[in-house]
Amino acid sequence: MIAGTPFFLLALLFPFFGAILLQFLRAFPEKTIYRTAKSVMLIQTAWVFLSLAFPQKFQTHLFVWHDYHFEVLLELDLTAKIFWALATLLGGIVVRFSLIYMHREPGYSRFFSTLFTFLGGVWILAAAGNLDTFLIGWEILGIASFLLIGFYRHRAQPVQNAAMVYSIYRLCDVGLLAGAYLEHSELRGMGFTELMGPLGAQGLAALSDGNLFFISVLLIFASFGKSAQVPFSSWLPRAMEGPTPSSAIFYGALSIHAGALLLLRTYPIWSASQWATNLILVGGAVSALLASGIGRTVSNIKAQIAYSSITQVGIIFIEIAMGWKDLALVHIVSNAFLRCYQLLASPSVVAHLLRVQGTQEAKAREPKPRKNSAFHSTSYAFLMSEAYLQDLARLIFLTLPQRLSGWSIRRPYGSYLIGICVFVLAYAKWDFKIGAAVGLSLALAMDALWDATQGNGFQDTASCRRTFDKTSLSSFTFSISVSMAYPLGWKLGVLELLPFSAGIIFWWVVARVALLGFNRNEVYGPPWVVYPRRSFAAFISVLGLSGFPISTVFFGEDLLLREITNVRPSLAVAFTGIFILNGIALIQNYTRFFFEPNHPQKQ
Amino acid sequence: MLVSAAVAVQETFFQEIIDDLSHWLPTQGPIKEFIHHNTLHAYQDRPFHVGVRVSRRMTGGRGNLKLHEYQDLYRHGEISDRALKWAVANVAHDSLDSAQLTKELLEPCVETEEVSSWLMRNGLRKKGWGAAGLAPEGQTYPAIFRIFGQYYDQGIATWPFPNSSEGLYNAVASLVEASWIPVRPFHTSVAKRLLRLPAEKALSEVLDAWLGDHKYYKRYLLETALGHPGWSGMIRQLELEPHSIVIPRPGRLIDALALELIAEYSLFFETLSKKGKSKALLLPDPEIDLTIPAEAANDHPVNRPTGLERRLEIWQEAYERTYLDSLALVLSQKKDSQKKETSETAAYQTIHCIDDRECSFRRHIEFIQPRCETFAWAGFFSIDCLFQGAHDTILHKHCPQPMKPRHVIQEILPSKRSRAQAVSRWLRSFHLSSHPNGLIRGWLLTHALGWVTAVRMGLEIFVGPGEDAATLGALGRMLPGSELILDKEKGYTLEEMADRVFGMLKNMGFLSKPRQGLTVIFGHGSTSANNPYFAAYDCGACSGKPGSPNSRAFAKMANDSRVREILKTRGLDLDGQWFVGALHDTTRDEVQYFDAQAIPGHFQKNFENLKEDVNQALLMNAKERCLKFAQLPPKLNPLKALTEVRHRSTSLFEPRPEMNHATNASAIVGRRELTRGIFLDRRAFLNSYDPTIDPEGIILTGILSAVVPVCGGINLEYFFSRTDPQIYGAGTKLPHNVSGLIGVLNGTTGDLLTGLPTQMTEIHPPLRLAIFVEQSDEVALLAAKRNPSVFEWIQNGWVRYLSIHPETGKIFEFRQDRMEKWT
Repeated sequence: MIAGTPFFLLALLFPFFGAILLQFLRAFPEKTIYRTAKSVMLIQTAWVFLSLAFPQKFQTHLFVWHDYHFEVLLELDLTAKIFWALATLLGGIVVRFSLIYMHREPGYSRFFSTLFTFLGGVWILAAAGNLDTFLIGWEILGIASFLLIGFYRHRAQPVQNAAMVYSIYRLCDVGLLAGAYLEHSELRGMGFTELMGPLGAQGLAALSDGNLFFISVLLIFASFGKSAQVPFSSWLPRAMEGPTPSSAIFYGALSIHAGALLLLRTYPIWSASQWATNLILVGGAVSALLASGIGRTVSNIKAQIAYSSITQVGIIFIEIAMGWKDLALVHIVSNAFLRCYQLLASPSVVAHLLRVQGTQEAKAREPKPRKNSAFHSTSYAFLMSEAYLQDLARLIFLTLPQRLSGWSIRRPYGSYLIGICVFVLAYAKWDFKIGAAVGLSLALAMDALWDATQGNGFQDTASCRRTFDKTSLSSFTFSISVSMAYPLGWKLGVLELLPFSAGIIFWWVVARVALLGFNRNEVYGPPWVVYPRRSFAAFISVLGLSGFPISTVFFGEDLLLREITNVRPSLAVAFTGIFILNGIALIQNYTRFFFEPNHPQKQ
Repeated sequence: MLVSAAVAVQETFFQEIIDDLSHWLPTQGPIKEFIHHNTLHAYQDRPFHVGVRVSRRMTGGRGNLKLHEYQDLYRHGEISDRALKWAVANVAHDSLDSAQLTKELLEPCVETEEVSSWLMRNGLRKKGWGAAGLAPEGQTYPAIFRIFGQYYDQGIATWPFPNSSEGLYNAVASLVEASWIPVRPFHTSVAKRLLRLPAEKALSEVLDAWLGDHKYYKRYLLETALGHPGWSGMIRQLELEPHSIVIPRPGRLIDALALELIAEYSLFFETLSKKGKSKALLLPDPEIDLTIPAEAANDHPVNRPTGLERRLEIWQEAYERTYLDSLALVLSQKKDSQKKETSETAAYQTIHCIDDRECSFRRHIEFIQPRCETFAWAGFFSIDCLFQGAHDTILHKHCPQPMKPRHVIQEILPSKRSRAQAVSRWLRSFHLSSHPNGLIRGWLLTHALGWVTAVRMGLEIFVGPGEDAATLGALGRMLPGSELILDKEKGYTLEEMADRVFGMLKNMGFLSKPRQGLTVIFGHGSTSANNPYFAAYDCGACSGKPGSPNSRAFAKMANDSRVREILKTRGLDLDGQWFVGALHDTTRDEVQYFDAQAIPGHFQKNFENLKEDVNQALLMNAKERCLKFAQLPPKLNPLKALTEVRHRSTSLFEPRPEMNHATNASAIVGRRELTRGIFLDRRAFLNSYDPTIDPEGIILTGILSAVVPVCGGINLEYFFSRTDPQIYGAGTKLPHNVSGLIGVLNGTTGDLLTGLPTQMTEIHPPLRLAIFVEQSDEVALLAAKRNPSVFEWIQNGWVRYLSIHPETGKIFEFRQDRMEKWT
């Protein structure tokens, strides 16, 4: 362990301390919260500037299990410094903005707590020296986004959109998780700086083209999802549900560039593969063109800013793919400032454009009306429908699970049918026990998703419990199935995967305790208000079960992947499916049950 | 022949239905002209409590605070015992023992409050779709709201909806027809077929399939429209007033409903027809109750109050009574104490708007200069005009909503320099426009603007906004160095000018004694940054615009020597007097004087003194206002207070630039002697009126015709946005997103929001307006009855009406058709 200067560590940990402190201050008068939040930001700015002045490196093994190490590596190279400065400046602006803007708003403390969590995640993300640490920051960003999109819980729309955005994040996270894992196995888990050097070049040269492309595609998948590029663009306009300053800093400034940062960091890996580079080029170009077009047709200001931002990020991706990394960095910074300001000032567009509109200059520039051709209409229809991306998302996230796990409303056992099919296939290829276990876990995951999204979520406590049960059982069964494939016998396999399975059991118990004796029908009001402690316990158990970096499940996932690659690489597909399905099921279940208001009026 | 007759019959059939159901939709128009009006004006023909109840059955909105809120107010002494006793004695429906009732009122209620509207809960949509296990809104709403938003867009999208001159329905139909790719939700062949028919025909086909019998159509359409009241109301308003938006977008409510129903049909027809029925696929059971509460009688079972509602009514009356008692007491005592007529000559006169924010400004001026006299009249100062600013191509209405002005006044700029100023101002705010400008240009612009924005944002948020932000304020502002033209082609003739000047001065009581010296006419406006509700802060009497053109025009007219000649023939000699128009910016507590260079030399000293006094008054006004801002310390020196309020007006992140009409509770029509020196805490609208020159109450009727709708409208808008921020109000403004420049919505996919945001109403105690007129009770009643639309407000209790006798000071209250002595 190489100790960093105290400033560096403080800058990384202090925001989380601030976030937790603010959670405890929820019942305190606003003046206290105001002062606390302001001081936290000021002190954090001090740590950041001191760290920038005395940069250091920090490396430690966060988790060790048998011969597995999880290494955390943090260092401030130029990119990290720029991002740190950007995050601090924008964070400071948004905090100052919000201290007044959020005055008398219920959830004042909760807002700042989540904001500091988010900023803490950004600081970790930017300073991350290897993919594992990067993943920690990435996950924190995801949860903070979820919490701030769903800030207004008395209405159904923000809550539903928050769950939807998190589901897309979950889908794309699998790319990062798998990519990180593969980087471990193929490239000995080199840090970013190492990758750029001669050792990295050696390691990369040793990889086959196919493997290289595969890793790159996984990483690209994750970055496209987070940065709202095609085909994932539809979530960004729908994420503008929280208070304006949170939309500004997330989707205007920081969170949307996380994908670009990922590509910048992993540049040596994917740039070695011509196909991957082309993929980024094409993806960025298509996104830029499409978003630019869609932005011309949207009629509300926040969505328009969102699409303008996507356009610029698409261009940033092109710049990165062409190798102009410095230009990309400059572009990221200027785009971040511009969009943040545009979003913060978006309510003034009425006065601004009306002033412009009624003037003689504007009159002179008005386009002449003309007859519209079929081509014109077609392009308009295409762009108006947001290039069908939302429909695609709906298909994948709603219709497909519906079909897979239900076929129709009357037969929810379709998922078990799938499980049986998988088992039969597995029997043919692997062996009976493993096949059964995998089939069962997949079936449970799909069924849990069905329960969470189609069932009578917010009134049925039994359904909530069932979803927790099913997702936990699904993950647990899967780990058992992998253990059974362990060459040295299943007992040793279970021991090997204990962090994962023990974590699952632990968090399942927490969830069940949270729901102990709880009857939704006797609660008048949303549970997160009436029973804050239960809700909090259920929330962290959701985080724990889905592998958020607060539980051993997070490290366990890595362990699991390692086992899979060693013993049965084809199980990785099943792993991906279960990871995604369970994650989405858990979050949907939680939001539907704990957040969703009683009356879906005036959305 | 037969076919077209059938079509015509269909059209009339649906026209009637739409006309009927439009009554129950919100009437809020585009947000650039925010007119305060009674949110429940559709129910104004019923008594207040009944109207509140019926509206609740229709929309689910609460017209009362919650029971525990009233009980808390009582415990804190904000509802007095006396008032509670009065309410129990006078308002209770049954002849319950009053002691028993009082006890019950203080207990928690076992009835749970329903959270949705009766109409929707027992509606065709709920029952029909519910029986099928489907919720079409989840799929149809996002698509059709997007279509509405894009069709009516006024400048956010750079690519306008194709064929928008054909009307909403036809434009969508053309788009679907011409496009080679499917346009969801009209992608099915049935939808395409239906879209080729005219709207009414398609609508009747869908409704026939859904419901079968004609008698269900109205109810179904009503529920459909009320499912998204924001858009339904807006589309209907734009249908009725197409000129309220700059870029024309013809469209009818029936188009919108037809599109929604075709979308439903397109998405769900297959699923529903699998049930085996061929018609009336959604009809739940033929015995369904089709009563629409808003069309039922007051004592219809659905409109009767529940036990909880009864209690809430009593509490509300007690709450209002508490304030009324204290105000009436003060006014009657004042009447007793004031007697002396001041014989000193006035130093100067000021005329203000009746706005409640001006009441404190007047009080401060009078305190600083006891020899001045202040008056108040509706803020358009009887100049009913259309105003065209120096850079504008469109005309803005600057008079109350119901008026239809014909005269045009223009502002012109003498020099070319100012045009360059305007262009540079536009450039400076360029970064606000997020219009995608093509890929290469957009890329360049992002780079160029990004860094500039960083600096600008940092400065604006940490140091303080520049004065540019202040110019992002309201429309219709006067530019420095400009000139006002009153008598061009469509302007005023000299006779008309004289009429207006004479009319206002006489009715106000200005002519009750000979006057001389300066008279300043203060219009008022507001400056705020980053505020889509900016129009709500301006003068309501000028249709949500600043009163600057009006005050300036009036002054110009009254100073014009030719007009004065005409006035002399009518017996009014204005020599020795000079009028100055001015604008009081209520957010910044700043005053701008117009045409000050035209003031003759012998008035200059007077003017200097007046300016000094006004500056002092502004300081004190700012300090008084700062007491209501919770984030500021209570002890603030006036200069600091003035800096604070100016900072608030240009701050990007201040959602409460000023408190506007929050806490308004009364309107007092009478001479200044009645209210001079009383601390009304900016809660009273004040209108000057001289009872001695109005024995028949004719002037009073004229005043009430303005005061009751305008002030009553303001009061009730705040009332209902406070009692139900989600349904009658617009919720918190923090997640608001501007759509098409005509409205706001939450997020990017919801319905438009109506009403006021919580930031404007959260400190407002919901009390109905108490109108006091300084007149004898018979004349007061006579004056009120003369105008039936005004009298409806009073008779049904939507505003309270009290009279205070000019000589005896006795107060009478209007209750159930006559004036009764107030006790």
